[in-house]
Amino acid sequence: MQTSNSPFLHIDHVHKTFGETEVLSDIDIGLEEGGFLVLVGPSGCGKSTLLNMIAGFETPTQGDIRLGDRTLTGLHPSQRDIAMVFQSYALYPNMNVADNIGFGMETRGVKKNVRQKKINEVAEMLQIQPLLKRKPSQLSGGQRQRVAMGRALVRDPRLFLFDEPLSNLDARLRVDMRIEIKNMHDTLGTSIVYVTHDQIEAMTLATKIAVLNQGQVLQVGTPEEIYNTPANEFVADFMGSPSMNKAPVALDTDGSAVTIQLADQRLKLHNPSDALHSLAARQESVVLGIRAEDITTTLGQESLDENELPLTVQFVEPTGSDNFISAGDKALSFVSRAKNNVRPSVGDAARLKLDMNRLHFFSPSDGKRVG
Amino acid sequence: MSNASTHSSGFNISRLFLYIVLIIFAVYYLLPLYVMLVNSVKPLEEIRGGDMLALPDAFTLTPWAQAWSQAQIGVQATGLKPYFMNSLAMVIPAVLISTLLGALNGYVLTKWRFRGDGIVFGLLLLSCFIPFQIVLIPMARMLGIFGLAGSTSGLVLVHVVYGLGFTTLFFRNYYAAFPSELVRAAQIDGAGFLRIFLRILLPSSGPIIVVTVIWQFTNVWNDFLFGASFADVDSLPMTVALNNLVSSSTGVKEYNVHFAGAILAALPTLVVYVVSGRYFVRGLMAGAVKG
Repeated sequence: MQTSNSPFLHIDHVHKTFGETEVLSDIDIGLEEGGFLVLVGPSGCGKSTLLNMIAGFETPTQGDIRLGDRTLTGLHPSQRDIAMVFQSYALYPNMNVADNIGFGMETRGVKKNVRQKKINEVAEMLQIQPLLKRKPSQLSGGQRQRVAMGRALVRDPRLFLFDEPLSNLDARLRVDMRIEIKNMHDTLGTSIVYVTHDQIEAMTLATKIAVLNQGQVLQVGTPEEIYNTPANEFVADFMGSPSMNKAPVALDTDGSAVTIQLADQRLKLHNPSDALHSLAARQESVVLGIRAEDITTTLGQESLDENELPLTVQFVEPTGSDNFISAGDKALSFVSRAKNNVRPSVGDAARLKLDMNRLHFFSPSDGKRVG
Repeated sequence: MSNASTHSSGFNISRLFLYIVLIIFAVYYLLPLYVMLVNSVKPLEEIRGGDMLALPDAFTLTPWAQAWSQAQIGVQATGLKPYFMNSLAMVIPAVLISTLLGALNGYVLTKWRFRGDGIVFGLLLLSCFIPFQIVLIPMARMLGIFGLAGSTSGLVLVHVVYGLGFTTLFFRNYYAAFPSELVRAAQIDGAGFLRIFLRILLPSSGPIIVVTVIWQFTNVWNDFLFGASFADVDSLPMTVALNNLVSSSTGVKEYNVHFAGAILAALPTLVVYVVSGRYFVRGLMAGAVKG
């Protein structure tokens, strides 16, 4: 029985070992009904193995996966009430689009006229009716992607699984399809588990993100939580582009206020955490993190404000809408994001103002967030 | 071509050289076939008269008719016809069964991996390297036990067993490049072991089926040793009958009949090559490029 506090999809303390190597260790993630869970991490982190276990292609060595009030462990993939979109789309090359979409119904013995009707409904929804008689080899990448989604949609499952579905598309199409997947989720309201290594896909699509690395869940949370309060240095690095700036700093305290030393400037922290207070009392070092958009770069160093660092411009990376300005020296350097009309030259003197409310601190020993 | 640019005229000289070389080799390889064809339509006296390369003065199809249905092979003057039929009755089931089993083996060894599958495949591969002579006596004993000694079914069994290593190798390599995601997608769609094989893999296996069929057909059709060892008078294959025809020690050597018989014996493999030869190379490549 499903109790009120157990989630719709529950990956319950799952372990997976292949021989001696542990590829997933104690994964525990819950997803509410209608949620969009994105598993994100670098290649080899175990995210695809986890998805394969939900689909039923792999069996957990330990732990259980439940969907609704059923445990999935031991069920054949076809009995899990799931549908999956694969990275390579996995369209049956010998069948035309209509047969590809209808193959699942065919194996379940659905009558031909019912099948036809459902195929047409899905084709209309995805605007692929003109393609129904074509073979997969006659379709473009984007069209194949649509057909793969059609094959998943026609099943009307309780859970969709997406395995890096956009990684084979060009950049433009990827953005379009991303929006379409988002719209599909909003319209249907069916729960989705989505695997990607692209942090932008994760941020834009998810209602819940799980960041994985080396077989472990580093953080589970909403995109905002993951971005604004990363649980450790890895998550801070992995999510966001460019990567978060980091610098080792020494903490100090005058009894009430906690301060850090940066580029000969002494900065006073706003609302430091208890952990930072106690670390500061022992004058320990921590790793400071700050995102590019939380630094304001102004040219010239005539008058320095409080919380401003005098640094030299190292290089400028124009992206069109924004310029990413890297300033500092070998020992200390920050990338900041500026409007495209701020365009310093290499070697220019600049002052960088850090948003003191948006600072992150990590323990230098284990990388965990301390404030 | 008269107003061709400098680029294409340089191109033409190297082309010309290429064609000359190719034609020389083509002639070299076609010469035996020419000799056989030309002499199979000459009366015997003309062959005895001398020039093997000359075109026939008096064209005749009698040697062909003799080779097919009148020549003395064994006890009766039946020609090669009954042996041709024996060969067909052996080749067709042997090729079909070994190809189908090879496809199934390849499917299991790539898409339904099991503990020790590598060893099973290794052992199957090993069978490709066992010289025929080694298995003659054990095989004769096995056929005796099965009650298949001296029968066409016995020969079919021998060729299926011997062909399995190669057909498995062909299909395994082809299916290794076949995306496993397709099998997974079909599993989610509710298809089982056989349905995935019959509906997804087999319809996409055209090129490798052609390769395997050609390979098996030529090997089984051209086999002499197994036919000579295991067949009875009424199940002798074409190759053995041809040998009996050509090497019979009594009477006049009818070279024209021998030539016609040899062409008849080679014809089926020739037809198979001509009809599906271009798929052969394509199929061999298909597994190699992606593997």
